[in-house]
Amino acid sequence: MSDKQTLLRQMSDGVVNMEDTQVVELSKTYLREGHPALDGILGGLVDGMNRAGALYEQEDYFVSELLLCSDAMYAGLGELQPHLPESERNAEKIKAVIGVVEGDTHDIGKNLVKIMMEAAGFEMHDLGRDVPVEAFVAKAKEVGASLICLSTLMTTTMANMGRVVALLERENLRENVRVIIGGAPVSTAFAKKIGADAYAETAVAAVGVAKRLTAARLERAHA
Amino acid sequence: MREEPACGHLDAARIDEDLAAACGCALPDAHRDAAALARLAVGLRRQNQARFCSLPFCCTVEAEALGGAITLGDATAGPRALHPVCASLREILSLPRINFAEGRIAEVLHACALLDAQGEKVALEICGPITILAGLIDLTVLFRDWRRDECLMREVLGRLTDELCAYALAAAQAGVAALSYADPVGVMSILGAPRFECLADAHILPLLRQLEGGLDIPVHVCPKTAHALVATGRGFWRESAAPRRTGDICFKSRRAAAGATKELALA
Repeated sequence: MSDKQTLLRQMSDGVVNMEDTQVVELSKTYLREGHPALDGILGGLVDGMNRAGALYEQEDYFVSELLLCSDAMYAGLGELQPHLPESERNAEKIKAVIGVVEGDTHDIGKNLVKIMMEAAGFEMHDLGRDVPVEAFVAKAKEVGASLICLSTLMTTTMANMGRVVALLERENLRENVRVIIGGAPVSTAFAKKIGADAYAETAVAAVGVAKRLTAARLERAHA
Repeated sequence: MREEPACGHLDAARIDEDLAAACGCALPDAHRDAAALARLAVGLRRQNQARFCSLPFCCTVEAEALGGAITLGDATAGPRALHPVCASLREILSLPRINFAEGRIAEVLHACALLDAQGEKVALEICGPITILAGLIDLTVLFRDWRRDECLMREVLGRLTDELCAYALAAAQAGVAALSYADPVGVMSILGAPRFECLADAHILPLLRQLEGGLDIPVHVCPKTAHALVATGRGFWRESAAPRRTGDICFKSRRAAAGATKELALA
């Protein structure tokens, strides 16, 4: 019988080393030996993703590695998530809608933010790329999101970020929905200009910003 | 290693509706009309006071010619990929060969010929393989399959090298005065060193060597790619022996002394 801590470390290493098939096998072994799925997710898979994020911050890993690490993490989640107890599956999480604004299909940065925020415990609703303004607001209403994360790489499409903020205001949702923006052409100054709540420079920074903006709600969720 | 020259080009070829209207064109239809493309290129050159007419105002022509699902967008947001058409890297090899006499790529080449006939100098921008692949397949799938089977990726890169060589030759025959090569997705900051080195050895160097040997026109390599080739020992800077007539097409290294022109040489 494998020691739980050893298995968790191996799952974490599997994510860091981008070994998706190995992570699946380890996750199956972990469950077979009767260990709780939640610990496997947090202590194994998410731990590995956080280590990968740190390697990315240190410039030891690049975007391609981070995407492959997340691929391994999701492969493991596919095994472990169905075995979470009902209470955990229904536990309230902070919900965030994320996407690349209409006109732009550059979604690498958006994907990295989604990955790191999921690893941090947010419930992410990914609308993908080239997303119309109205779709962000409609999705936020549908799922009761506290956050909208907007990304673009193009100066031609950054104006759509402001349109999302304006539409939230028109729909009287601005008080309850915070907006984070990111991408090469935008900045803190641009965030202020369009009335967004914050600009995040990197995927890891986005997690900190999201936690700060939703701190009160997080406290309520964990109370 | 992740530091790269900043890119100021991304939106540089943007065409606004006023310019299109002044050129007697409507977007996005102009993307499929050689004569309209040529008029737009001249209009943009005049607007930017450039010496060259640049085409094709987007980085989806090659992916579309290989079977990619592309929307041409509108005046605000240009052509872009809609969704992946391949579920695995191996499926890329099954895509039909580019037919340079059909579709939008034929219109682009025809536009080059029209401009050349008018005495304009044309710079054709060619996209590198990772950007092309990003228009055909999900990037995570691409990276996953690449990691699992580097031989397969080299085969795909070899296929795309052949396609781009043929494109460059067709462009030269159409009277293009200079080629520009850029791969916005295939840069070091995204790929990391090992994958960039694989890309360089299996595609960039073979392509540039073939173009160097087979074409009598200058090739401008995107500074991000050029710097990465030098950083990985696959290229070096040398002083330009004689200033080229290509003006702004010549690559000026940020490391060069003010005013000095350096060019990339392959190691």
